[in-house]
Amino acid sequence: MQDNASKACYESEGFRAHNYLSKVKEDSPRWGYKPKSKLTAVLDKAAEKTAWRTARTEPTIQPGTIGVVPWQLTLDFRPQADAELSEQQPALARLELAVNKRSEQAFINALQEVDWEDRQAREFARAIKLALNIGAPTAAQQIYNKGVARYPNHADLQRYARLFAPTRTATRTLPPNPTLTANREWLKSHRSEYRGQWIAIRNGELLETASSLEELIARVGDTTNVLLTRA
Amino acid sequence: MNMLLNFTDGTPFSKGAADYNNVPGYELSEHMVLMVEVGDHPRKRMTEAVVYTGVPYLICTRAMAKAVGIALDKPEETGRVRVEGVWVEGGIHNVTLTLLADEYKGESVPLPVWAFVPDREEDFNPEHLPPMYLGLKGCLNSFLFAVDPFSQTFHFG
Repeated sequence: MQDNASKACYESEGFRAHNYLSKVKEDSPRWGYKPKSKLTAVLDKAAEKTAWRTARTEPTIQPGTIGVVPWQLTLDFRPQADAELSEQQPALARLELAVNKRSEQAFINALQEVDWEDRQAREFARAIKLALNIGAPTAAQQIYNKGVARYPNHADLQRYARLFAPTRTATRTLPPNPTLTANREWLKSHRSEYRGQWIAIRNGELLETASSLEELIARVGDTTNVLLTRA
Repeated sequence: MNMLLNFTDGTPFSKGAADYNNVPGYELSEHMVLMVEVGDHPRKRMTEAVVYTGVPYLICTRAMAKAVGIALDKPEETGRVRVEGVWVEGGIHNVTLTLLADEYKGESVPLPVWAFVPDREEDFNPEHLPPMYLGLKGCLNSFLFAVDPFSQTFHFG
């Protein structure tokens, strides 16, 4: 990524780099983009050259093109002054990019490059959120495990405790339901007669049928202890 | 006959059990289907659910989610799951799942689980199957469970 950006800088002295990095920044709005030192130097050079050219050929400035480049380069694409994220920000930014591109594999690849040492709790939480968003709950579990080991009581991570808590035994119980067997027997005998329909059964007796669940509930009224399913 | 399972030291493994609905010669015969309750009073609904370890969360249709009072516009998180090879986008919600025990087979067990509700009804609306899947992460892995395929019994607790 940095190589491509550097090439673009040299080719057009900032203008193409501006477009490219605008895209990069657009793709990673939450983590931001923190160039490494080499790229920063390239951008500085491009900005200086462009500014110098602008000064020498001032009549050629066009709104929104070359004249804007030095300002964009020096203000937008340098390391963010308020960057509270740690030095591994680019790795986390890649997680965000992978999610934006809906690429589970890119996400997993980027995840393997993240160094979780010295991470803040909210960074763990953000990465968990991204993992869930990309459809990788197992990866989210791994991030959670690391995060909660470091920040066991942090609210940002505790909100995921229900999802990622280890297997446990239930602490509360309710009475068994004596109607299940009768419902099951009715379904075995009659289900095929109502295929595709929503059906309501209470204690082994058909109460209502309908083409939708909403309609079925409206017809049945009190659905306490009523099995609502699709045949 | 009480068939609850115990560990070798005598402590209970499961708190309840129920037969699963295996109907020969029908699509459901290839699935393990339980009767469960979803949601909390007064919008708790009893329905059927497929035990499906190939997906995460409790996945339910939008219609069922509305019926049990899930606030579809206020998910805990947004996410996506791959259901039978197709990515489905949706929201993740907290919901109470009650595993129902048959009479004389222990106790029913209410549990907090995470439910996934698709953004679009057509993305998860399985024909000729119950409107709910019990996935592994965030749902089945919240409790101990075991399957006896010979008596077609699902043990939980």
